Amino acid sequence: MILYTPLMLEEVYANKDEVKPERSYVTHEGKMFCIDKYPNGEYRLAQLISSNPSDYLNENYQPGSPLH
Amino acid sequence: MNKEENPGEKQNNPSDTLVEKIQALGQTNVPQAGDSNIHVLTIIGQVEGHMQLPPQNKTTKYEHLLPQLVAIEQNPKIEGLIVLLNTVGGDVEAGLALSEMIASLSKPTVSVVLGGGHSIGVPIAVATNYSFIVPTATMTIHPVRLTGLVIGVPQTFEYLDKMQDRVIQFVINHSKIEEETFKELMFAKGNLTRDIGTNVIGKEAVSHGLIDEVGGIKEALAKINELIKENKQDEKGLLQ
Repeated sequence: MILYTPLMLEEVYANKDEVKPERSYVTHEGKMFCIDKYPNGEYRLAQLISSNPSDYLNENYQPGSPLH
Repeated sequence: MNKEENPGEKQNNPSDTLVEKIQALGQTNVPQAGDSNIHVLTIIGQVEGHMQLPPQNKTTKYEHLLPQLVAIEQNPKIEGLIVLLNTVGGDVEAGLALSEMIASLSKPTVSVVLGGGHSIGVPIAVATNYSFIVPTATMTIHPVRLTGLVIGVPQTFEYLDKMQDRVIQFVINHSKIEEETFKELMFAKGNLTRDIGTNVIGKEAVSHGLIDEVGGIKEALAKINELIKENKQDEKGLLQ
């Protein structure tokens, strides 16, 4: 990978050792979701995997949205 | 209720939702649209196949895309497919599997190479009925190689050679490039600093016959609509 940025590499790669959230894939309403579980027990949607472009406009499926 | 099974459920407090939306997207609302007759496959990062890659890699898992391709072929409401590529390559067999699936769809398909469509991204890009490349995008064509321990050098060499041949055959069968030209690009010396091969950019990919046209999403959508129209007329003709 090539980075083209005025930032220092140290800044870009800061917090590299940070604890990564636990990642899992679930299927819901016929769509696949990539879900992150954070150490505080919170679940957030990381990525929607769908070939239907209008799914990406559904505000409930936006990346980062919390799950209840 | 199981937490994991309800990703779409709305929250009760509207102000909380608003704050979360701003945190996640930097904006409050996104446009809404009805169901689209054109579906989109985005192939980004590494094409992940038999081996799971470490989490810092952005990957496209082929086991996620294959069922989507089946659904696209099977669903009568879906009339066309656009493949968006920005990939650094990856698993040869996963890439070839995706390429063959895209090539064998009965519905019109168009690809757009954005940023990069390297290595195994090349067969995926040419697998569609019509391919586009944006002027700044690049495609690296280089030989298939292996790292790590090799036991049985002649056998490994032959296996790799056959694997490479499968890639070459697929590309020449699905694009306008000549076998000679493609092999020349693949084994060219002096273009890449630490490898043999060639990096073709936008217009060059078109002049070699690898990609059909230079263009972006506007051209791709116009082309897919045209192909869908042709496809419908053909079906009508068959019925009459």
